[in-house]
Amino acid sequence: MIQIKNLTKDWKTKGKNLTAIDNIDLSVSKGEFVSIIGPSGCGKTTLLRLIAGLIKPTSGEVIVNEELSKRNSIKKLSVVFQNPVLLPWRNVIENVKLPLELDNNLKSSVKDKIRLVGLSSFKHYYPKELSGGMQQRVSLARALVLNPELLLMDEPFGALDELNRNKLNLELLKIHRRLNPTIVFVTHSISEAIFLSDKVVILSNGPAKVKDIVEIQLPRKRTIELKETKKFQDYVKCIRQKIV
Amino acid sequence: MHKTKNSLKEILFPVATFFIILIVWQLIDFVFKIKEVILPNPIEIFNQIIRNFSTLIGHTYITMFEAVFGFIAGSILAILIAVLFVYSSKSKKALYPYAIALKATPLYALAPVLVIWFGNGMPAKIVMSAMVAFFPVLVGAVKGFTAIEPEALDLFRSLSASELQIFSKLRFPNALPYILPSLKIATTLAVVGATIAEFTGASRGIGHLIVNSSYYLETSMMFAGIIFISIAGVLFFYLIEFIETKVVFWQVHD
Repeated sequence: MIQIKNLTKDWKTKGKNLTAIDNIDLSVSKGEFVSIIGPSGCGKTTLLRLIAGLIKPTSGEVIVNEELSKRNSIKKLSVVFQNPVLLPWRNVIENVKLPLELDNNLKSSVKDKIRLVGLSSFKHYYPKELSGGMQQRVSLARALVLNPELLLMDEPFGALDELNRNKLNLELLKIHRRLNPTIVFVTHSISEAIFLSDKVVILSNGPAKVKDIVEIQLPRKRTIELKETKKFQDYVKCIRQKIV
Repeated sequence: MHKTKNSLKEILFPVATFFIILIVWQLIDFVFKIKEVILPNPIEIFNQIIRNFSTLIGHTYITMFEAVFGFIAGSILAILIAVLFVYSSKSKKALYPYAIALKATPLYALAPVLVIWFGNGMPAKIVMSAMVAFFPVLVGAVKGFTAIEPEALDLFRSLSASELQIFSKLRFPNALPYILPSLKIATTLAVVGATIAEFTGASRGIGHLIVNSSYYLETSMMFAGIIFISIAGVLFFYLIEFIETKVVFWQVHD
């Protein structure tokens, strides 16, 4: 699904070159749930923006679905940002519908996606009337409305409290099972990364390099109790040691 | 229940203040026997209004006509130029500092020049109103068009939106909460602009009426004119405020 080869990104600040991403190689296969974890400011978001095609690499390449050059492949990709980025003048339905409005060729059921994130009874609400967790659900529904093959998520639940985060993690897993998109998920929470993923990519502190990749061999159908098991705790310990 | 009590107080208190001021004014006038030419008392002004009601309405209509047209022309031009600034950083760099500087200058001083250029009729007043309404709206619109969350732009770009779509679905609605308050400021300035332009040369309008009455020492008529144009200006302001609450409904008001 994604092939990343020798990817490097430099930022030019005050005449100096600052390397944010240093020669990263990574591949993600179709339907896989991959988390990218690393210390704050290590370049996780930059990597995600490179995959999304929002910024151009300094060298190396990102191949999404082996047809990056074709414009239509971009439509198969959705991004969920750190903030919900909802348009305050649009209600839930209108916000979720936005991607379809921007490309009239696309058709999809807005109401189904709103139901999927559990907001059916709030579909006429405006963003300011919704809690942070609900806003992020709207943002998720908007990303899903294109039926993306690839979902890029940049610390989407970072601003939520523990309870809401757990709830949304479970729903994200449910959505992943049902629609089976490829998901690249940036987070700085070790337990969130393990809980969600098939594979955790650990980045080193800036410039970002792939320090290690840990395969998470836990059953795909996961419940919150999984977090208390020894196996889960072992993964946490293992990744924590590698991250430092 | 509690709320209606409060809102009743909110109306009652200012109304009470108004009548207290009138009564005190009337009393001072009665005690010190101030001449009508110097300061007419409320009753004299009231009588003047009753006698000349239709004249006052006629002049107010002229001034407000000029102010509203100037306001509309100035605001539309300001928004169009703000759009130019958003898409051409060169023109913004070259012109915007002057716009900000001009906003702080007393443009009203140009009124006599405008009479020379555009004559004694309405055009000079409309141009004056448009000029003073222009700058606050320009500054508000530029702020609004550019004050966009970077992530919102990323969202639109990740959905491969066109520049036109980004403008119509993101920049423009995003700018409305900035533009509407600037329009409210512009209403006040436009009315002042039209009135001052009438001072410098006109045959109709409240500005003309006030200056003309001063020649005949009809001070109570001057006050009547000031009252009429003030009320019209306030109504104009609240009309735009009403439109603001409808257009920018998502903005939280205190």
